[in-house]
Amino acid sequence: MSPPHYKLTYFNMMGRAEPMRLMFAYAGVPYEDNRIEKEQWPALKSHMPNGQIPVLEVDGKQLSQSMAISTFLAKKFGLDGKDDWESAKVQEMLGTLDDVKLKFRPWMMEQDANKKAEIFKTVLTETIDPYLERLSETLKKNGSGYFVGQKPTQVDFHLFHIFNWWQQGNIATESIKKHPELVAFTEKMGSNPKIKQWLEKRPKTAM
Amino acid sequence: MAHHSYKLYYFNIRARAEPARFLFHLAGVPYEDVRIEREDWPNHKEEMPWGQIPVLEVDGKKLGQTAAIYQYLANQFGYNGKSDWETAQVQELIGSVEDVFNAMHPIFMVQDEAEKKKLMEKFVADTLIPYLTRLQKRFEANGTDYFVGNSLTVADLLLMVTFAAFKENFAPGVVEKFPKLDGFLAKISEEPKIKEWIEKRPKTDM
Repeated sequence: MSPPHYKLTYFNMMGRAEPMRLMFAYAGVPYEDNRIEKEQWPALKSHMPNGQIPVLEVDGKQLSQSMAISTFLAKKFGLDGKDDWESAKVQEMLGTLDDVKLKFRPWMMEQDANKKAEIFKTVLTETIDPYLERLSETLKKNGSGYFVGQKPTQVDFHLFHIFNWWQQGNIATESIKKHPELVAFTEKMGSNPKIKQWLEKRPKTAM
Repeated sequence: MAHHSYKLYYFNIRARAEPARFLFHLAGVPYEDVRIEREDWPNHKEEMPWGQIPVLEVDGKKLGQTAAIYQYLANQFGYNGKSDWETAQVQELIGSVEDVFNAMHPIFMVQDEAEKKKLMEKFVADTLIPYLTRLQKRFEANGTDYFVGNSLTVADLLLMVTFAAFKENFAPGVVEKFPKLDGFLAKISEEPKIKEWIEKRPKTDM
């Protein structure tokens, strides 16, 4: 049976597609990394099943919604926990990360530099710092160096992407520094040869 | 098969917990349907892993996040599709409903009634109607009584609860403009175990 043909369509940025790209790299599975420019999007929108990207195409069938895509791939690559409970814990962590990302939105949408800085201060104290505290506790309690179970799961790739992006953009640097286990986690993930190779060769984008 | 003890914590409303309650009823599995009154919630918030409900407790271990709860129970009871691809489609539909509610949620925070009404109208025109249009196409393309494959999944339960909520509470008259979706709601509600729970469940506004 021939391996499936994968095509991942997203903007030419990291964003919601990057955890999946990291997983493809880690698993050593080839795929078409289809990046579209913002100007191309309006014309393509109506061709996407739900008018959204990212979209994963598997042997021509399309799937939208980043969590559905991420979980589908995670299962294929053995990155979805060892049993139903771990898999549910993975979903729980992905869900809380999504809730946190929702709280970032006003900051990301704000164009005025001064307002943006003000919003960020609130996001930092009300959302980022408490969240990092929880993540740090979870990591320590789990004791394996990964967030769920004894081996990497898709959650580790989603969180690595966020920490790596923040590092790159010098975002919340002081906050992360307060949590040496999160710093160590980021370094450990980043030093995996397959991930390292991807980080070096991927298109460089701000987000 | 191992026996597990289940508790489901939520407010005394249908909303996010309802698909999970349906799953228990369909599977014939007993659980403690813990309903917390809003005034009492501050006393319980710290007991919940992320300070939120719904929460599912299985043999004393707690699990938060609505989608995680649906997935876990659907896996246990066989309502998560018949293949990895179908399961992915179930998850895709669940995610799409979440997106719609995320778009609607900020409107409830608005105090001014006139402003709220305007925002709701915009939401219906810009978000809800395009969404229901795509959903109806998808439902028709699937060609069965269900949204994924040819058997009931938790996605069907969530969509049923969601369409009913729009009809009764948030946007009366809109779902009715989509005959296939309205028909799906009516038909699913008549399935014996689903009808049974609808009849026996506590009657709440939402």
